[in-house]
Amino acid sequence: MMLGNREPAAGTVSLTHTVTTIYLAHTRAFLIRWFSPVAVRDWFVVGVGITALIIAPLVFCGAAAAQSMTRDNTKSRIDVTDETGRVIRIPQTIRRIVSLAPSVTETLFALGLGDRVVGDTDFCDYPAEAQKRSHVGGPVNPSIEAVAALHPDIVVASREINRLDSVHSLEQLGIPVYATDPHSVDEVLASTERLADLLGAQDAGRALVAKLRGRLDELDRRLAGLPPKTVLMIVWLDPLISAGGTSFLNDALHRSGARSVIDSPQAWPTIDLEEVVRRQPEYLIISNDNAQQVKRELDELQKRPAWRELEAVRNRRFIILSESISHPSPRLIDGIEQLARALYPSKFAMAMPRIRWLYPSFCGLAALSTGEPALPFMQMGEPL
Amino acid sequence: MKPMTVRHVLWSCAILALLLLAMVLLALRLGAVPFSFGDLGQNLWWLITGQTDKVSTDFRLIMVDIRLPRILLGIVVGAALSVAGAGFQALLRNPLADPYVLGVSSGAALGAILALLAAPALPLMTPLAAFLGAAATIAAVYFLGRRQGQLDSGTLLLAGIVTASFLSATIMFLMTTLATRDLRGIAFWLMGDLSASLPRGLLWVLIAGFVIAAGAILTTASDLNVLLSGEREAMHLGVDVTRVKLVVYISASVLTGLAVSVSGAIGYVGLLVPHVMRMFFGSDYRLLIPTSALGGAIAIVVADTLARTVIAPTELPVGAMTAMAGAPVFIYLLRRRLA
Amino acid sequence: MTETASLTDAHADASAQHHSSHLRINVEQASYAYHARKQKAPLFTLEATTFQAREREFVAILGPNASGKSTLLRLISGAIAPLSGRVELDGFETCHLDVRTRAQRIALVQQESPLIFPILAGDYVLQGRHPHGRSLWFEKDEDFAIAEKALAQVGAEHLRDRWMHEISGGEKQRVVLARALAQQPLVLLLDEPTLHLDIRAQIDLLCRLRHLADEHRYTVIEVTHDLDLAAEFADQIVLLHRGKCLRVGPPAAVYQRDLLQQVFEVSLEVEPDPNGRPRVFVQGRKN
Repeated sequence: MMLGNREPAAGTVSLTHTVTTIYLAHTRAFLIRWFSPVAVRDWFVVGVGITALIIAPLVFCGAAAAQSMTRDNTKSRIDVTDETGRVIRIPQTIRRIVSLAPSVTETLFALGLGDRVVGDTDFCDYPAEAQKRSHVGGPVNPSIEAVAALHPDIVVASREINRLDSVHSLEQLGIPVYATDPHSVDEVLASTERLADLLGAQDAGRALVAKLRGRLDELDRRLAGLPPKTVLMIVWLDPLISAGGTSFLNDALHRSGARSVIDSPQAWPTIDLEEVVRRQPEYLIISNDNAQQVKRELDELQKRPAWRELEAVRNRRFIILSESISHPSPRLIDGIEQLARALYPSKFAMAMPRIRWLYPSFCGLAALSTGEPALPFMQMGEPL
Repeated sequence: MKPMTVRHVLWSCAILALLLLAMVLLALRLGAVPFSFGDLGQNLWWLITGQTDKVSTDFRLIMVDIRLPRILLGIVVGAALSVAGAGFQALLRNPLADPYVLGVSSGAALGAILALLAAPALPLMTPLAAFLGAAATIAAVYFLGRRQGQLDSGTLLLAGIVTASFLSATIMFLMTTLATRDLRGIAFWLMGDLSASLPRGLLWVLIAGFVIAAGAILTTASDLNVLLSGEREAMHLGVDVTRVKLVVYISASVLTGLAVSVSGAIGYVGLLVPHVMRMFFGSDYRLLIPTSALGGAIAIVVADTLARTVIAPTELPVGAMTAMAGAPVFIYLLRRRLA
Repeated sequence: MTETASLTDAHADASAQHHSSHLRINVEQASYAYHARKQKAPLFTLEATTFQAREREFVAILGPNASGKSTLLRLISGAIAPLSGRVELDGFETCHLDVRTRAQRIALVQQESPLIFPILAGDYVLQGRHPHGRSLWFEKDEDFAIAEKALAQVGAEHLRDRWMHEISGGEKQRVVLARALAQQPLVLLLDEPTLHLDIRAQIDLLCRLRHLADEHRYTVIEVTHDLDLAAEFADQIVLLHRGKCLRVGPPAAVYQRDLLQQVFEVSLEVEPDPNGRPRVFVQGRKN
């Protein structure tokens, strides 16, 4: 008869003592009892099933791990700091680029590097050739395999849209990832220039940026001295999200002569409709390429009683822009110009033909000249 | 009264292990980048026989660096969640118990979010912080769930639910104040996602942790069988109820914490795999624990392969797949009155 | 009728052996108190109780509700420790034995907790072998044989491959008893085993218990409400009333009219039956 001196069940248990005693006693008992009554034949069965399954892949991993990280070290490498402050190591000459964001793809093509782009996301639809590149998935959940299979020299990502996890996964495979992170219109231009320098297209970069700066200066000149118009930029309707603080969109509004009624430190704040009603913006701005869908949404919006308290809704003062304004790429300037023209039509009435002639490849109006169905990039209701 | 012998257990496990091996081979073959079985077989053979120089770089890059670690991770996570689920179902004497019911996943999620806010650049920070969050939750729920000094199933369940709710509310609050871009990472994590590459060493730690914790639960398997008849009856049948409950609680929570800290909260696996295994193999925990582990591994490998291939090259999170498949399975089990 | 006749003979033999048989359970001035919170007055107190149970003895603990019967049973089983006094099994204090040893010697049959997962009756009985196994063990052939025998002893072999949730109350009770027997204990404790059974099942169960006590040297201690059946089958009665043990002794000694009327608060008459056992006739509420 085995006697113990333990107290009966209704008492407090000492955690560490109990746990260590349990583990030691049980491990010993387990080892003794489990292995003794088993026949050799059963072990053979186990050997086929479980061992093959668990040990074999580990062997693969182990055997290949030693060699798996060999990269082509013949290329000389340089250290570069990207826009989020990370230091990455890239080869001097870059032949193969993968883009993980539509804005990045646009920028790369605008810099004339389109033939070096070997892969982009499913959502990269501008310019048209971008759709012909190999797709690696969405910006939020790209397939790491697909990216790796393209053997890129560098992957360019956008902090706005891509996940840190994707970046980490790629770096683990030895693929450098350069992230852009512009927070204003000037930063978009600077980012474009840096990217051009990085990828060996300095001349194209400088020329492009100079052109874009020229347009922006022209815009500033036209809008000099004019008081800004108050607007609400609707990024998302339900819940109501606008652009604020440090987002490049907010800065783009400034450059177009508009001022957002929302003053928030967050980049994409969720806002209260009451707040908007209190401040009564002069215009509501929505950026969407699908004009029919937007029209439907706005019509529906006019039926909502809460929204009808806005003068802008009652008087149908909507501005529908193309999506170019939502991308931190060279097309952003197009969007800024569109918005400025919509807000101050009197300042631009003469200049329209000249603009079309000077910048055919960038302007959304190019669609009109080629006879494709026009995207109604702006729409205004009756003026006050 | 069919005798439960070691041989029966080993044969059942061997069958499941072979099924798992088949799924692994299938998973290796499928993906955004295609490989044929011939390629696969040849390269694997070269790897096994040590002729690593013949193996193509593409194969090594895709298979060995990306797919294989991901599959292994899926196996460990699936096995851990299923064993934890089986353990909790016995501990809480509730067939609806899953590994997250005691709030461990919410604690891990909070840890991960805090890591994202504080030090997003370090890749190791997130799993580590998540595990610490899980550990803190385990301790908190333990102390809340005691009654008269020992774990009481009812009190434990309530304590766990309350803790989970509180932590979820905190997480919601933090999410509204986070920048949208950081939010995206967390949203994937909350759904359960295996795509994050982990350092190799972490995988070994996971495997070791799994073996220890699952082993601990396995040693209490025959006690758990008796415990299911009722706690007082179990005590009178020679089960040291306090000790067994403590071992199962800690081990199952550790398993959940390990799984969740690397892959996020993958749902339905911990709940359903033990029930499905009960359908095939019976309620004896000596058999249920090893078969649940293997069954969970199979489930995750299949779900992850689907997540990777359904709308390739876009990758869905694994949690989405398990939820889509899990709901119909759950309904089927309910209809069969397994609860 | 023949059954009852043979029982009486068995009783006579048993009582003759009482003085020479081995003392199993010794309860000496054992008391207990339940507190809702510490430092507050106890909700219920079981006051110092003394009695003994020997091998082959059938003891019935009688009393109205909330008289401390279940508490006393739990003290005997060692699940709780007495506040004062001792409860001993073969000389060793039951509360100080470790759980496994205790389970090898004492089996408790009580009201069942609901079963969570379906289980076969045969497997259920097999769980009774658990105290004799070790961590992560598998049942050996002899365990199966013992479980079979236990089922046979309660007359439930035909239930072996039936699911526990599909059998009737009486059958379930027998299976639970079989599990207790599979433990091969020295002492069988039963908490109101006849509660939900019909009269035939009740007699059946008690006969088996009596048989087990006589033939197989069990000590059977039962908690019950049923005055008549206790008088019929028990060798010793322990009468409890509001936590106090009022009398211990053979049925004839305990079944005194005034005592029973005081304890049960009903009007009754006690008369001996042809076999000499007391019978109780209840006459409605006491005024």
